[in-house]
Amino acid sequence: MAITFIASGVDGGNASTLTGLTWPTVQAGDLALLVWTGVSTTTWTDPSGWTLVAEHNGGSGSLRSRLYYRVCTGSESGSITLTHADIDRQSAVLAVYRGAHPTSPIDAWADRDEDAATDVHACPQVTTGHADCVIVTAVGERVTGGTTDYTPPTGYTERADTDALASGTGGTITALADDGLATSRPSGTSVTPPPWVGTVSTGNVVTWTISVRPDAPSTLGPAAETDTALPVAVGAAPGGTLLPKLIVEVAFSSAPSTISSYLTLNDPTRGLIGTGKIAPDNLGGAEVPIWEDVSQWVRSATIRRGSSRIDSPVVRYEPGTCSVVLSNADRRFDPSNTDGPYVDGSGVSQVRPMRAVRIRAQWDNQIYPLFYGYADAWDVEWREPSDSVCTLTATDAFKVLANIKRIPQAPAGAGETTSARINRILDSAAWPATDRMIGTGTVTVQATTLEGSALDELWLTSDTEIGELYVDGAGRVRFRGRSQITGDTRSATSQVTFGDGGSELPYQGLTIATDHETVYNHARITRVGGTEQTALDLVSVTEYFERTFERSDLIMTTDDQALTYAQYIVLVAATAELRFTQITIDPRSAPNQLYPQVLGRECGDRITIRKRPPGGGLVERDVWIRGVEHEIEPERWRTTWTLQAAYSI
Amino acid sequence: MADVVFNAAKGRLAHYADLPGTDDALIAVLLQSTGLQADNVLIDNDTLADVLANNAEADFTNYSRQTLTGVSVTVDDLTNTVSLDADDITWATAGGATNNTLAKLLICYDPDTTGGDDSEIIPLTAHDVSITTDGATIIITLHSDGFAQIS
Repeated sequence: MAITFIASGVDGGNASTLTGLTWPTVQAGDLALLVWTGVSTTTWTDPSGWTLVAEHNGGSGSLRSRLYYRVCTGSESGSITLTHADIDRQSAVLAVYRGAHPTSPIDAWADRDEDAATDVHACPQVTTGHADCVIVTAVGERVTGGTTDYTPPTGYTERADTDALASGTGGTITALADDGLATSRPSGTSVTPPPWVGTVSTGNVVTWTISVRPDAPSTLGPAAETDTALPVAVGAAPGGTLLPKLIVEVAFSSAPSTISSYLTLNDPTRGLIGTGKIAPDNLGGAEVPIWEDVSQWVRSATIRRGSSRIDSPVVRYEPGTCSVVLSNADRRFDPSNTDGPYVDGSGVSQVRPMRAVRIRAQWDNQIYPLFYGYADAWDVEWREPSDSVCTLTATDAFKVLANIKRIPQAPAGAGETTSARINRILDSAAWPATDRMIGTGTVTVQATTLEGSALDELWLTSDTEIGELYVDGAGRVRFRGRSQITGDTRSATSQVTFGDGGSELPYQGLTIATDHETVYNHARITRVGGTEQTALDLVSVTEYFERTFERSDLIMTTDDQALTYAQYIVLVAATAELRFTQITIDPRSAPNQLYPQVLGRECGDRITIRKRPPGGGLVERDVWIRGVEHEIEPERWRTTWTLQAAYSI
Repeated sequence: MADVVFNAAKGRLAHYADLPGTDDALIAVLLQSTGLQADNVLIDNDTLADVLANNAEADFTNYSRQTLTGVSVTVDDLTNTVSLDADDITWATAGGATNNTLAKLLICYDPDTTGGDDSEIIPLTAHDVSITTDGATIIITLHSDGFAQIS
């Protein structure tokens, strides 16, 4: 911003107080400069509201000159009072500029004492600290019969000159000029204004040079334009589509039920002859269908199953959940709407909690179960004026099993395997046989009274086994024993390889960890009613300090089993290394290859990941999938797997 | 690897996407991953001929450069941006007999679709892709905000 001159004023006389300087019309931010000349033998009072830059007492002639500045508020008016303790011939000039820096307007200044009698008074040099500063110079003289009119430095514009206002015995004169305000100079420029020229020869003179900083650089900055290339999605797609068909269904009319008593072809538990009956839906009859397809109203969906974080060799899977945002513009999912399509013959809405919900995906003529659970809530949101959505949240079988608090029975089952115990617990909760897939446990357990939460006892049993307990995408409770989680083919042999080279399946994101969270080198295991058994890896302790894994609630039948448990923990967890903790996949980047993976993989599957880090080399790890998350939106599908470093026993 | 604007096209994206010529067009070119230049080197190429002197164009079965349809330049005074968009791009039955692993999609300005050569074609943007052809149809879905945005 360029600096401009606004106004100036002068005052002088033989008095103790000057009041003849009056404020011109100023704006907030204007810079006022005041140069005041008088006798040095009296006391000077700083004018109110001004900042003293410097005072210079001349080497002769009892001369004093002061330089003040003030950043105007815009409310200045009236006169400026300049007071000496005694009467003397004093003079002052005022100059107002606009466009100076609002907080640090004085860039640099210098003063010079004239110590030789002459009528030509040189100005001191200043070096500018900023670009395009304006140079102001002033002169003050005190001598009887002195100068009554100054000629400004050549090329400079005189803005104020007190002329003969304070002339006479001990008379003073003050004048101010600037460089015309149009000179462009870079920061660091040394400037020496040409000399002031008076009308008498005297050595009682002080000259000032002031560099005034502009508010902003007067050169224009570049106008920036940002050109951004946006990402594209690419895929090789059957039928030209990049997304699977998402099928979301709700069993509105079936009351709280697992809906598993109907025959499902090719299902490992529900497709067996003799276990189910023919379902009444899809037969064209008058019966109410079991599953209502609400897919066409789905706006987005999120599904989470398994674990979201692995920091222990004993994996505990969390309840699976889903959240589905449904279009509700016609109030069909509004539980208070008794005119909607999901109302029974008594006029009661079946949009209720605990109705069975299942989510499946169809890709390349194959259907993949993704989630099977029970409605938690139907949260309706009205979006004025005409839209509404309903967010359906649901949780899988773990919710049902956690809610069942059983009455204690006579102790039973002493010495049975963990898999038998899992079945016993599920039976006690009346969980259907078609909704479970129970593997082979290797550890025997103590008797149980089957008291309390079914889920808590299931988890304790699985923990005692160091097994795997989860609800799969089809809603079945699944249990695998210790030997199965490392020995089943899908867990012992890598099923697929992801990587950042051209030969592997691509991934979108990869999270790594090199911390100590999974390290345990000391295990203290006490079974209920038993003696503590310990295992310790001293080499690991030397490397990482001791990190202890401790359980005292496990229900194995012998201390030998507890010792084996402790040794197992230390064996698989004593070493820290770089591990992959999460992988994110955008299956649209290679739909034919990736959708069968992201839709078909299950907790416990073993996969290989290759990462070629910057700087060269290859990091390759086998991992187990321990958690699955699908984020589904229009034209977008993203799957994230939580991972655990795979090991062999 | 990123989505980048070629240096020679910076500041001129909207001009070219506006198709100022009589027989001009935007075209899509696929590059193989083998021998692909790093992004900060790739964007130094001033013409498609320069690009192809240093990188390998796709040659899978049924590959040919695609002319973009539905090219649009949209000024958004609300977001103070200009968006360049086009219809999604399809290569039907891509690969089979000859397959490629592809790593970049280029969108280029061809000033004269009736003649000329690659030295007259100006590369505008390069976009990451990751796919190996196997005979299936390839569909490039452009971003919901277009293939490029100027702010």
